[in-house]
Amino acid sequence: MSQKQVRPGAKKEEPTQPREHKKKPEAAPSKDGGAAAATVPKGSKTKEDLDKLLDEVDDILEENAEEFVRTYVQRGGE
Amino acid sequence: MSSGEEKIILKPSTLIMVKILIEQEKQRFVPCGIETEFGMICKGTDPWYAGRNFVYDLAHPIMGFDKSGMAWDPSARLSDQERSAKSVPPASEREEHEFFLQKTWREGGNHLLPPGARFYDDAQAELSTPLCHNPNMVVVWSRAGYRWIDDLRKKYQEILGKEYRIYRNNVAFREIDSYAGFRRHRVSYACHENYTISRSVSWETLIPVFSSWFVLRTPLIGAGKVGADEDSPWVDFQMSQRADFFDCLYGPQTTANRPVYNTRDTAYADEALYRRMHVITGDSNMCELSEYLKFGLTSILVMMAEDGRADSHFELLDPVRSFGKVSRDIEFRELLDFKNRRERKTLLDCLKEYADLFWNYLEICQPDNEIYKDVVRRFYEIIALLETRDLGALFGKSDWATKLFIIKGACERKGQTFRSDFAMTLDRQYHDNDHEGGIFFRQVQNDPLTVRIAADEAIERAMVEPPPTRSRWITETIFKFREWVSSSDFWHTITFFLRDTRKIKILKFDSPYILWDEELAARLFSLTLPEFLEAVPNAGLDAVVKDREELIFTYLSCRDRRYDPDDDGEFVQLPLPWRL
Repeated sequence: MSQKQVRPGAKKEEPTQPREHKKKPEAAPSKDGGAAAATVPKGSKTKEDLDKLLDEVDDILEENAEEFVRTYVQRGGE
Repeated sequence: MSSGEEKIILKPSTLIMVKILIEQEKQRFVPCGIETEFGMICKGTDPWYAGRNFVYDLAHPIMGFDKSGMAWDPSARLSDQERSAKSVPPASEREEHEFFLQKTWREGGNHLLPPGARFYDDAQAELSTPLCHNPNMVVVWSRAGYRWIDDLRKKYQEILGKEYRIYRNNVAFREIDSYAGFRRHRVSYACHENYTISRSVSWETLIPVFSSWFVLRTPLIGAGKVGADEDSPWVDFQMSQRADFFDCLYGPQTTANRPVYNTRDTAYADEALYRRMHVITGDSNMCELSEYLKFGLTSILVMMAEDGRADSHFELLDPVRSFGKVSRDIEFRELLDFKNRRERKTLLDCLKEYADLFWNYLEICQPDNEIYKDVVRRFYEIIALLETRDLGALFGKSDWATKLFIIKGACERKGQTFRSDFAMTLDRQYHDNDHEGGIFFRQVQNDPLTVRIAADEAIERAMVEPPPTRSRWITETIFKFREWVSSSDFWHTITFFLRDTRKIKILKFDSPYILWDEELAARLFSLTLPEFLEAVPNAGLDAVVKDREELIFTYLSCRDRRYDPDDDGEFVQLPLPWRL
């Protein structure tokens, strides 16, 4: 496996294996200098959220699932 | 880089790229793009022909597209480099692709869309994004493309009364066993990724480094699937749609005997300097974050490989078998075996190691490259969520987790199992490309927990405007000089036939790194075609113009009108304002 090239006379570099968790990214500071702001929204779906979602999903499903599945054939590609 | 740290010696081809970017005061990037195959059915049409009809009927005068068939040379699909990687009879590959030479395909099976995207028939209807320069761009222009397909679906309904259903997934049945009443044998279709990588990176690096990454990144990019395929034992649900369809480690095939590392690498650029890494393992992603991580993290690994900083630490003992194992490991409990280390690791431990590796590399080699650093920050956050095993927390951030959350809840409510048609219907409906009708677009896209990468305004603009990359040069050149264009591959080469002098000229934009330049474009496009062909090789665009003796394809025109989504049915010319 190729190693990064080094200047002549420099120490040979060890393979680039991940070390312990060092230099992880610091979270981006928030505008007011307080706690760091996450880039991914926090929270989780509750049971009530799920029930509401499933009520809506019912509306958009085909009535006859078997027929729906049977008709979905394709050639296949890459 | 601070003093005292070792100087990074870059390979010559990398130096060329970095030089271009430093001159442009831009950060380093990896040119990339997506090819998406769509599943299509149409009421009253044999499903085997639905996708093909969708593409070819765009040439119907009433649809408003001019004939835009572009001639395509099938031998360009294979290069000497990929033939040397594995022994495959080139003749059989040529035969498979010879339909590209047929007049009907050229006249109706291959369309250049205004944003520089290509839409074409290749067994399944397929859409390629224009060439992009970073994961943000990829998400914007891919979403614009998916909007195009949905808008065309609505046009077909309004104008021709055709009711298409279009799915951005990766499995369907090939046929129904009507006697037994059971479904037999599913087929797969793809979502391919393409990355420019220096030709100096060898197969000995590419295959072990990237084959392992393609397997281990599955929790980030898997679209999820009910069931199993290709004689694998049944499983209620797995993370990857594609894993079951892979049979070997490397090779050029894409439709059978699929390899984890695909060795097709026709560069559509200077073949001596560049390779195109063609990735076929990934699923089609509805979640923007999955697509963003897919392209962003793989691009970081590309840059590491170019810099000689990717080694065999993650090389799996058996990547093909591990792909299926990883796909089914939705609880992240399994231990994986590696070639170069004794310790076995779980999937999440591997992802954490990758995150540290990517972050350390960026801190040392590209400390100011905020585009890729943002990708790694989000990577850390997703790993933390995967560790909770809370599907509700992963909602809108991971396709397989979102889909499993919905299907599991729905099956429990209805008293159905994952083996039911009900579960399979939900699986497919998640991928419905109907932007007002599918499960993803109605229940997930605008949810507060969903991570959006592309702004809606950016997507709207991207429907009519190419990205500021080589694709814009190609697209604008074709539209400007369309009367003389004989053929093009839409990425690299345009062939012109100058009727008055009977000369054939081949223009190649040899670098995938060139940037759009509004002022330069205004000067060049004010010229006549002969003047343009004289000037462009000296314009700093890495372009060459050559004579060609034989003209293979004589017919061509392309769209001279642009698509206006607010229009009633007439396609109208739109201006092209450009703002960064």
